[in-house]
Amino acid sequence: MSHLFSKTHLLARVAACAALSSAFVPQAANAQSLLDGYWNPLLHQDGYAYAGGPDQNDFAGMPITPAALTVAQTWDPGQATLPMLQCIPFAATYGPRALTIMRAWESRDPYTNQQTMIETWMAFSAQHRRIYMTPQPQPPAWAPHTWQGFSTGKWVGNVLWVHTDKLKHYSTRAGQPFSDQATTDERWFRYDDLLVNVMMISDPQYLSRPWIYSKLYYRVPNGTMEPYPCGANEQIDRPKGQIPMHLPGHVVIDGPVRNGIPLESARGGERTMYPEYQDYMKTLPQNPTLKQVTDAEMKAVAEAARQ
Amino acid sequence: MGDTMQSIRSGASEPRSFSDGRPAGRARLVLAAGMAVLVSSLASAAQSGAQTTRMGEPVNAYAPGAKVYTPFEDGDIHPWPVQGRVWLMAGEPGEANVAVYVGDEGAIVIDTGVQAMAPKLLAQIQQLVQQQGGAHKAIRFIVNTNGLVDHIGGNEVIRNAGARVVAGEELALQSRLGEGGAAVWAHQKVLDRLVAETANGGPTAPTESLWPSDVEEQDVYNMFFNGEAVQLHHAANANTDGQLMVLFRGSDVIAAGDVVNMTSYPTIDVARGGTIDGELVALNTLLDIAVPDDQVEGGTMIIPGHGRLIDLGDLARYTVIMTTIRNRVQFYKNQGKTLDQVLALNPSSDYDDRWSAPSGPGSKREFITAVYSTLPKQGTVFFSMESSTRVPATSTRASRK
Repeated sequence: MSHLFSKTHLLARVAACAALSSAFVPQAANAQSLLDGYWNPLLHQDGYAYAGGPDQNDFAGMPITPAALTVAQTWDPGQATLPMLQCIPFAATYGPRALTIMRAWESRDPYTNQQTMIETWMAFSAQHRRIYMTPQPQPPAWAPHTWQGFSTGKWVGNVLWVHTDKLKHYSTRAGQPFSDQATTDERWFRYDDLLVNVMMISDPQYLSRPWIYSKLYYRVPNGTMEPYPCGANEQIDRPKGQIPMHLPGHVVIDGPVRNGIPLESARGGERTMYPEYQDYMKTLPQNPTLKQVTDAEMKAVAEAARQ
Repeated sequence: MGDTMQSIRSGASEPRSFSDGRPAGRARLVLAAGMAVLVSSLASAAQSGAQTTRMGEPVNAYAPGAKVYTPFEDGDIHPWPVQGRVWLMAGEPGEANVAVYVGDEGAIVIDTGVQAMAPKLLAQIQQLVQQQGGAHKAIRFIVNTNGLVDHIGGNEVIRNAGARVVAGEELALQSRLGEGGAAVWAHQKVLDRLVAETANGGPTAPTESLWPSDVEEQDVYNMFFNGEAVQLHHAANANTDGQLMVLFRGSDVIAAGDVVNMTSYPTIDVARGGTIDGELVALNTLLDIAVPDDQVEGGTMIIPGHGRLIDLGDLARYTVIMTTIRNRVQFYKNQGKTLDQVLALNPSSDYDDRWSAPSGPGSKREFITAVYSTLPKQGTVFFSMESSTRVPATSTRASRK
């Protein structure tokens, strides 16, 4: 009995090792269709930043450059009400982090059954990405850029590698800019009903080093998706051609103050990315009170109106 | 990053407490396993060395001398279908974009690049017209969006290879003067300045053979050609006082000339009547004319004077950037700051890496100088079409090098 148990135990261990190793050994690429289906984002990661927030001028933990900080400090959320900007979707630099259901599907060559394209469609703002899986002519330098960019992909084992360029200049809802020179590199992989996206964004103008983040999705067996019609209209009465913006010296800081982020840390930069920075944060002076900040903001708004 | 942000934010109620607000155990385990898979697969790929294709391959944008995109100019001209009947003669034949509109009645060429590239450009245009044209394969018209040397250099060569349809007095006049070829259109002010510059001489003065043959002064000049409406919009006091933008209404393409420059800051040629507020008025006019498709993508396509094709989504951001810089400069100027003081404050620092040319036209120095010099001493900080101030040019002598 013990001998039998021992053999069974050994077989089980071998099987477990085989199963485990299969996850680590690259698989044949022609059988991949790991992304097909509907996926809901899990809200535990950066949920606040992408649902309640993000707060303007809170860039702690992000490797933004001084140029990016200046763009963000100048940015006014009112820009989103300009008719020309109202229907702009999330760009590929931002979309995968959005809290919205995603549909993914593949196309295959009818003769070879080779996977030719993987597409994703996110419900909010109808973000439609195409990932070319067979060699494509690179769009020339004069070709237009798009919100979702030009993506090529390949399978390395069970991991989908995706490179994207030809993106448009984009600003997040917090005013964080990405230039039209930005590129992204992604890894997509699935673990049962969980889908993982790891994205690295490179944009030397606005990120002093690549910014890497991850996102998890959970499979939705019977997913559905609403259409996303968008029509621009005048939401705020303002003189034609006027762009809402903050003038030099006016920085909106109520978000970081409300959240207890030291103002120096809220300016971001790559040093704020690392765990040891938390020790330094403890040495920083206390923020002004929210009332002080609000009073100053009211004064600045009045001054801007006078200008 | 996300976890750092999360942990920082979780400290809000208890200042500088960095407790870990991590997700549920399974998701965390999955992420860790996933990372292991990622690392493992990356290591395998590195060992195999079999991935020679660039499909999905990362590009290190931070490597010394790294270029995300190949240079725009390779010395060749590449006809590229923009939309409808409009083609971009890509590759920048002599620094500026050239567009060709081809149809049954012949072709219209928008700008002609620099003189040195003209024979090469002409050969490509003729080939394109042969392939894409209808019954009539002649170059009928040339439009100069302004009078700068990188927009008019090929006028003579391309005009001589073309043929306008004329009759009666016009035909007799052409026969007597020995003239012919395509008509070269521009705004009246372009011709006025070219005449003055040619008369004044100098090493960069254009020869008479580069002058436009036909000029107009209307704000909008309409014609119907190749089965669709073609409109020439005068963008007064934008880059120059004779700036034109050309709308091909059926093809839904706008040749914007230097009003949009995707390779550097726009050239505001103050000596030729350019002003920043005129530039912004022109950009807002473009925003009115261009109609985007869903999600502000596609729809009307815009050919800039320099650089890649754009649509309204790009144009909107471009307009925001230019307006932002203009407003900052007016803000400082209202405080009595001199040009040198404003330059020292670097009001375009957040955009220079992308938009500033290393030197000369399109550089931050020349752009800010032009913005400063064409804004009033005291003016409305926030630009609008209602408050725009166009300071008239005081010089007729070319200042552009």
